[in-house]
Amino acid sequence: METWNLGKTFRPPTWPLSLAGRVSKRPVRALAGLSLRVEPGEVFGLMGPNGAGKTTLLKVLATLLLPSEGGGRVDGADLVRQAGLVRRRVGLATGDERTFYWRLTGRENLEFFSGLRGLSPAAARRRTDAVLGSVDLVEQADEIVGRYSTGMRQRLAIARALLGDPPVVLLDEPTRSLDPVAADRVQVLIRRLSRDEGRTVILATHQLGEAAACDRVGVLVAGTLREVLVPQAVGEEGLRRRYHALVEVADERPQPVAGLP
Amino acid sequence: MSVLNQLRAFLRRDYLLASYSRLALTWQVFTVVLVAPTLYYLGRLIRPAASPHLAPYGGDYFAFAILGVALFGLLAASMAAAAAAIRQEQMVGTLEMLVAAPVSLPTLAAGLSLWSVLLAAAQTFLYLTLGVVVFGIDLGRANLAGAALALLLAVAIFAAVGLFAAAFVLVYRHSDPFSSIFAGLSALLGGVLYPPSVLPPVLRLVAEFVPLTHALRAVRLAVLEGAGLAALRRELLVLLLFAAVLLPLAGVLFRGAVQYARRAGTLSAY
Repeated sequence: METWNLGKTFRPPTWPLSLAGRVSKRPVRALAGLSLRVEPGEVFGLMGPNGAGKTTLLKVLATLLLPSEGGGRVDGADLVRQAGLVRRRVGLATGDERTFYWRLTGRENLEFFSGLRGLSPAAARRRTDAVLGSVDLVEQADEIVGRYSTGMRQRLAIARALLGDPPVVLLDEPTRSLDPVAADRVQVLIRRLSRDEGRTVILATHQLGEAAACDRVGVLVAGTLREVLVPQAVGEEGLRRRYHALVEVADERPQPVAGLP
Repeated sequence: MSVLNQLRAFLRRDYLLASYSRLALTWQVFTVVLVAPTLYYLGRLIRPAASPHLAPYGGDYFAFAILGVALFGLLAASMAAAAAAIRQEQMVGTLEMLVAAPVSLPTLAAGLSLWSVLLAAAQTFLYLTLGVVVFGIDLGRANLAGAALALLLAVAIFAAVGLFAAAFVLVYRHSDPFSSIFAGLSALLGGVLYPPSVLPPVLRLVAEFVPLTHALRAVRLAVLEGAGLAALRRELLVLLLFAAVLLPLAGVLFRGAVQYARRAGTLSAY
């Protein structure tokens, strides 16, 4: 996965599109000049304060957002021109619990999303069973998602990201709101995705411990990539100190851009 | 094969969601059972000789009206389905994940509409079955192939208008006003419960620009009078023209709306 000079600016819509609702009156630059290369099989962490652009970057990589400038490739497929191909090669797990049908069971949800990947009902069942096993949700598979705990929904989201057997997995705060035991299980799963299955994992996180387990960590501040750190080289404490130094010298939120039309 | 599997997945999901609460299904059956006899007894008020406007359609008001109501229900569902489904996905929070899946936009639009359209088609079938079996509509002369062709073109036209509505929902994240306006005007001018020939001359002229007018005229002539393709040619050509203009336009607009939402970052917003 690579990006070059990737930028995303949210511009206020002009009339009549502005009738859609309240929006910022000035452009907001969420990502700027982001050039990055993540090697196959690598676990790459994205850290940064709230609003630094982590989720925006993951959504651009999943083709849910169009970049404003620059470009990128995921497993060889162009983010803008080959969005359909990128979607086949990427699995995305967002931190949003509302992305499932709460009246359906975990299994029914996954079979539906398998079907969207073009799998026949029989193949969808097999694939669903396999990914449910990967995230230890087999026993709860036939309960409706509305009764799941937050941790179970997080694991279900990871299971959904794996349905297409993608070479690249994007995880947005996969351990947010999880208790330490559940978080450890997700950590083990992430390592397995990378080391045993050879997938590239890009994960956004606020947890220093989680970041320390990554091969490399990119620190995003106000939409720009400030530094790429190697946790094995600097250690968790070194990572913490450097992260704080980078974040504390910068205003952490995306800023309206003066001078942009 | 892949597209069929994707459509099957949408259909199964919507069936499962509908099974969770069977109230909507029950209500749809109840509506038919209530409306069909109402139209039948209304029809008994209007004798064939009393209205020359019904003469081209065989003179039976009940047969005229039940075809209008049954087909309008199907066409209205074809139009409203995609926009309503997208609004629902926005509210539930699942729209972003649907777009993240490798599903083409035409398949996405069709998949989101399929269940509602099939349900409306079943309702239409129930209307017609009741009309024939219980209330004695004579289908002995019906040209079903001609009627099916007109209906297919009409569904395509209404689905295209539905894509305009879906594009509106994607951009504005609000229920669209177009479906209701278009459905209301179509019902008023298109001849659901009365032939457009009863309208004043100006409205009769406007009615010629309403696709429903031609769809209902073609289907009624084919079903009630057994009109062949030659007799239906004018109506079918007009419907074809509407479809040829509206479908590509709607496709472009829907694609543009998805691109706009990807640019503005509003796929996950509601």
